[in-house]
Amino acid sequence: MRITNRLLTERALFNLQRNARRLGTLQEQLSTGLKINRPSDDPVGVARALQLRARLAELQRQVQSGDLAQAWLNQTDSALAELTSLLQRAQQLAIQAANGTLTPADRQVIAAELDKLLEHVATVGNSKLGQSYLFAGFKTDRAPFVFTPGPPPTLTYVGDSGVIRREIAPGETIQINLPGTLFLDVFTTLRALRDDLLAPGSTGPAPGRLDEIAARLDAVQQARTTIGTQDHRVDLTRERLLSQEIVLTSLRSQVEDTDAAEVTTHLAAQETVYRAALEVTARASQRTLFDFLV
Amino acid sequence: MQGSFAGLTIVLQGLMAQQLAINTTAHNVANASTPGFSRQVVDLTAGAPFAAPSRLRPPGPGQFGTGVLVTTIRRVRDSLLDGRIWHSQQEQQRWQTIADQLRQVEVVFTEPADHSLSALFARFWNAWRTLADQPDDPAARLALREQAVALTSALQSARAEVVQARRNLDAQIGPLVDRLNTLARQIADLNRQIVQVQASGQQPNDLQDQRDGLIEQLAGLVGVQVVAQPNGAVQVSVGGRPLVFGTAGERVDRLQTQPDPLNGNLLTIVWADGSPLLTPGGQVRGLLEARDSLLTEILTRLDNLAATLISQVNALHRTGFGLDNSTGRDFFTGTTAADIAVHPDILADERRIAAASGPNQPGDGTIARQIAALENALVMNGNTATMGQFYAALVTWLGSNSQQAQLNADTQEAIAQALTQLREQTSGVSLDEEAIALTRFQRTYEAAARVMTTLDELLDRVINGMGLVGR
Repeated sequence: MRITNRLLTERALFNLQRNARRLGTLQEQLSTGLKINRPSDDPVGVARALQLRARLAELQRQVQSGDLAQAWLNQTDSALAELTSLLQRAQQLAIQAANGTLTPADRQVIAAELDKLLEHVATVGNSKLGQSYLFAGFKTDRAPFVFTPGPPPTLTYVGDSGVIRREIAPGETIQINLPGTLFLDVFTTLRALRDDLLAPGSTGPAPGRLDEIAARLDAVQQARTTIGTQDHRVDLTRERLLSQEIVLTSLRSQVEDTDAAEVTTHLAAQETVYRAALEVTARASQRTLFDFLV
Repeated sequence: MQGSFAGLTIVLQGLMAQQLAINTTAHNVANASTPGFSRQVVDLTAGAPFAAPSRLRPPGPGQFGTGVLVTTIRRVRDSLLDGRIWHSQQEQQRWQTIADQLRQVEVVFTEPADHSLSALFARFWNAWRTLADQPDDPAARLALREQAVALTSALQSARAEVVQARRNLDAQIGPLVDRLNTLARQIADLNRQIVQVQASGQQPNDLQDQRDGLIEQLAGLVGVQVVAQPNGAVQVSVGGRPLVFGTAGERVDRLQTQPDPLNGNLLTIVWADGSPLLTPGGQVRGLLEARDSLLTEILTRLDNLAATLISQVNALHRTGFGLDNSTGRDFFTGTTAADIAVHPDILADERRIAAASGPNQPGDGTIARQIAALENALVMNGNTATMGQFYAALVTWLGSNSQQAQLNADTQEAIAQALTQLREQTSGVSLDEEAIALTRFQRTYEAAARVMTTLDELLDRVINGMGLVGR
């Protein structure tokens, strides 16, 4: 084989460029920390990465949805707790009013406190989370209970029966709101108790009124249990989502991220090759016979 | 019987031949790094032998030599190799052009990344989820509208970038065709000169090198078929039709561009008589492939994606109710990625975003949730893929085409490099070789000069030292 000076330099240049290109690729991977810096770096991997990223984004959003749903549930539970203590107070008052030694004036005092409690039912029913009324069905933008002091005090419901559902996992929704009827029932019972006490010749609460109050307490307690169950379900779902997130994140990292140890090793090897190529190039074709002969 | 001065003539021929050889060596050394130069060698032969004139049989030992003759100065070249190099040039340039172009378009689709189209899609769907959670929250509506505007303008600008890339490719075609025509004319000019020189019995080495270089350029630009003629001319065809032709290869056809109304008035290449340039190769082919098939495929897919997004979101949105109880509204306007935009009604008042399934239901996010669920709905490719999968397939398609084109370009480059090395082995100038040749010619020249001196001394003796009897 006949070797010429240009052959040596051109071959050296070609090989140097190829080495430099490989070096550049490795350096890019290491400096960006990414295996895939453009679709052509790994056309199949990029599709997988996009899929994982979309799933992760959706999942992170659903965790937030769960948080928001829990905020609503917790606020509902506080309202129901307040309703419970309100009913318990009414229960005490009813027992007190059943005492035969009370005068009509005493019963009027108790009825006046019941008036306050009735107004409070409306206040609790108009509880809000942020700007949204909790017990208004879909009409979350205005107070669902309109209280008129009277006498006699009345309560009107201006919400609707809309069921608010939240998506807490893909395709998994839970109901978070309670119908306003719960408050109307409580109001009706307390109002009846008040009327019992103010009726001419009243001897206390009508027969069965105490049982009715107890039944209302049960209903509220049941609603709290439902809310608690939903809250727990969100907790469980969140745990599931977060463990999925860990798996997906590590999968994404496998597809997208540079394995620093591996690339650093390759980079070191490639740098050695490149330096060797440079040295060889520098040495080659420095001298010819012209230096000695002529 | 030889004349007294015959030796001088022989020596003179020797001196002149060595001088010519030295000059050729000088020419080789001077062009050692000239691209496309083939080393030249001087072919020497002994002069025709000569018998002494006599009426009788020659009395001497026989014929005597008459010195050295230069027959040709020829270039060392393997013309079969040239054909293969031209072909590899053509393929290399074609793939490199495509690879460069797709690499640029990949910048538009830099994936995966935090601000890419896919990320904007994800944020868009999540904005609907947020609205489904808080349909009565003005902030959720504003955020959704903002994400929708970001998504539509990203789709529009991605499309515009691809369209611009097509225009940029188109703008390269005119200058390329000018270059083709210039090369054709230059080749024809050289043909004429080469035929003339060859007819006079000489070797047009450097002209042939020049012509081979031009053909190589032409091959890279458009791909060529070359037929050599016995008179030294070459005929060059492009796409099966003669570009440089005629008995002395002195005539040229002309290529020109004209806008193609069927292709958005982008340029098409035609011959002077208006018939189209068929099956070009090289850079021209790469440009046309990138412009008319690869980039248009991206546009088609983007438009398809945008059209589905518009129609699917609108169809659900029309069934919903806004906070102002308006219904039957579109969320997007437009039909393709070129004109997709958030509806002006929505831009004017975000309360018109229809999240609820009925009027007077500000707390109802049913429709918003249904729209968010479109993210995972099989609505593309005949209901077999989600919009996200469709987009990912587009990115994969672009990436693998780009990767394949670069791979092909690299392979062809390596082939071209190997072939060029083979040619260099034959035709390249080796300085060592030239140094030795130079030494040889120099020594021969010195020896001839010494012979000349000897002959001169002999003649001096004859002329000045003899016939002086009695002086």
